[in-house]
Amino acid sequence: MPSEDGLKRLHPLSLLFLIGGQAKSLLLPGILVLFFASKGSGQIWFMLLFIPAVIGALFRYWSHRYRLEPDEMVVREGIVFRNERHIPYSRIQNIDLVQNPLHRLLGVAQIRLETAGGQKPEAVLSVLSLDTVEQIRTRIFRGRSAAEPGVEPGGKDAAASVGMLYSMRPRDVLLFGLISNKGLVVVAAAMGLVWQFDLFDRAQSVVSKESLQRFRGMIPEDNFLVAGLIGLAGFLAFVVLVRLLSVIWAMGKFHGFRLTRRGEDLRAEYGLLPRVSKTIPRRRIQVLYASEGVLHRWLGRVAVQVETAGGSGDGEGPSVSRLWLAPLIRRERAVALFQEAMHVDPGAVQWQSISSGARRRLIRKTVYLCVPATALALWSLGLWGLLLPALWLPLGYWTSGLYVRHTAYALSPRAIFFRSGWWVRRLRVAPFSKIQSVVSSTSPFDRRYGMASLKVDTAGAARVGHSIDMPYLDAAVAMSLMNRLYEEAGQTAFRW
Amino acid sequence: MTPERLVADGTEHTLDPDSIMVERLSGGVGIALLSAILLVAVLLAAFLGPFNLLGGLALVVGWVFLTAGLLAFVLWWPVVAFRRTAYQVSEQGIRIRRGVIWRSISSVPRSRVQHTDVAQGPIERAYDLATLIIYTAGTHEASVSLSGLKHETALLIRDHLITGGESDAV
Repeated sequence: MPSEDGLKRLHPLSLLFLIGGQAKSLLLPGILVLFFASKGSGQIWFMLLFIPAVIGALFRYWSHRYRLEPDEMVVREGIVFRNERHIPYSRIQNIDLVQNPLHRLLGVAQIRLETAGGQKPEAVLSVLSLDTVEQIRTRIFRGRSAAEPGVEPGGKDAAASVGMLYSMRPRDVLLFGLISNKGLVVVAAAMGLVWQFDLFDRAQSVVSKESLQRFRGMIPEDNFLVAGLIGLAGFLAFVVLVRLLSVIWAMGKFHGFRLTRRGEDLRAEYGLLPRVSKTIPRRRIQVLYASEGVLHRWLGRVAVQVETAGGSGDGEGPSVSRLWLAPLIRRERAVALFQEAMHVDPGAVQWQSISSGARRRLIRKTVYLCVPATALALWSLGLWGLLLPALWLPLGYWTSGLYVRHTAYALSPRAIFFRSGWWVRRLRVAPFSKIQSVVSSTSPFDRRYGMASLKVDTAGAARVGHSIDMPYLDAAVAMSLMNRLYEEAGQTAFRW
Repeated sequence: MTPERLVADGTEHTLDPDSIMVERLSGGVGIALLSAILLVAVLLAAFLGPFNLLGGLALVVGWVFLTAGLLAFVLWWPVVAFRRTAYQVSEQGIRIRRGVIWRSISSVPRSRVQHTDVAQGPIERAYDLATLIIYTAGTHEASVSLSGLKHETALLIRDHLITGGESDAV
């Protein structure tokens, strides 16, 4: 409903959620009152507590308005201290949409706009009808392409073009749960709950002493084999349970995952209970990241993520927002995804390996570490200590070969590629236009072998493993690579 | 040619030689504090502790040697560090070479400079030197600092770096 100055109000159901949010914080005192107050009067008094909440919600709903201008969004909040915020469409990094089950039941959603500055979303509109959300999205999209004619020549037509890039089948969600082993997270959360409500004590009072005694009687004290088997069965049951929980977690988080492209924007939608929909413009992608563990390789799958600057970070430095492009995708199909997301193809580039002396250096390092360790082992274990080098040295020799074989970099006309890791294999791609700085460094050991390492810094690589840090390059190669990247980055203008 | 252009000559420059003195002084302040605390501890131990005359004397001599060693280090190290530090400003951006044991070269393109600081400590001010801090939007190397520039030079480099970026949408 537009008011006199074109400002629109949120969906009327917002009131419900605002009051609900207030009520949640009153829940605990409310329960206490219900339990401990004498019958009748306490409950009535308790109802009074809701009155300020309702009034507050009414005021918030009344004052929270927004307006869509041709090139910016205006959000107004507050009655006494009125705050009017102007957010240019061209600055918006991500548009996130969150729907919890109640939202979905009522056909509304919460929308969060994120820009590069700040640690929390620039604007949260809660709640809007789905039609309005779609209107806002297309409006923002159109405004953005109008503000940057060079970026999106198609304009309105491109906005309409929708392409499905990837959808996750239930089987893949199941596999993701099995592979990622997030069950312990669920277990930890459950333990927290149990602790909170003293369920342990209650369980003890329910399970009688006699039944425990009887259970203990079933385990023969002198038969280690049976005792061991029972222990092993318990352990296996625990492992299976954890994996099962992991699958349940994955189902909740990634159920119905689909990635679509609308013009220049990528949109990922997923989740069973809170349904999340994240939208990021393609050109905001700072780093593309793909990884595959051992289980991934057996199944021929990889996980693909991208990172953007901006969004909810946790303190210092530019914050980072991650977006799953595909939690689990067949390796053959990942290439198409790379092309869609960043116009890059890791298969079409010329991979360069690291310095030819790297393996020798790694082997020497193993030997230098192994010698004192062996001495220590011999001293403490006697001749058995010889087992240590007998296992370590061949293993070191073998893994050094794997390490060198799986560490490589490549340049395309627009981006740098780096892959590393032989156990968990990782691929990182950063376009030249997103490179912030390049640092070449040498340790005394590097200089002895004529090597150097090269770090490529981008705005979206806060997590360990996502940064491009290339070790054991020939010194001359590192230098020329740095010069090249410095030049390439300098020629492009950085736009978040 | 504007003065900013003059600074961006694309050749390697060393820091201002006065920076050696500044480093020595600021290192010296730290050493002086440390030595003073140690001296008090040594004297207390020598007179009140369970030492005979020889032991107490050994402690004091030890203190003298330690202080002399630290002092020598503080006098010598800035010279080595000075030789290993250089910067190069060009149309492209700035490149900083530094480090004695772990050496590094950082390259920051001009178009990636978000903002810059020119800071001056009390000792730096006495020698008219300054520290230039360059911020990028990066994560791991979000800022690069270069101390030991003439204040005027630092200002010129700053102007060159921040006027370089064409109107950049953030």
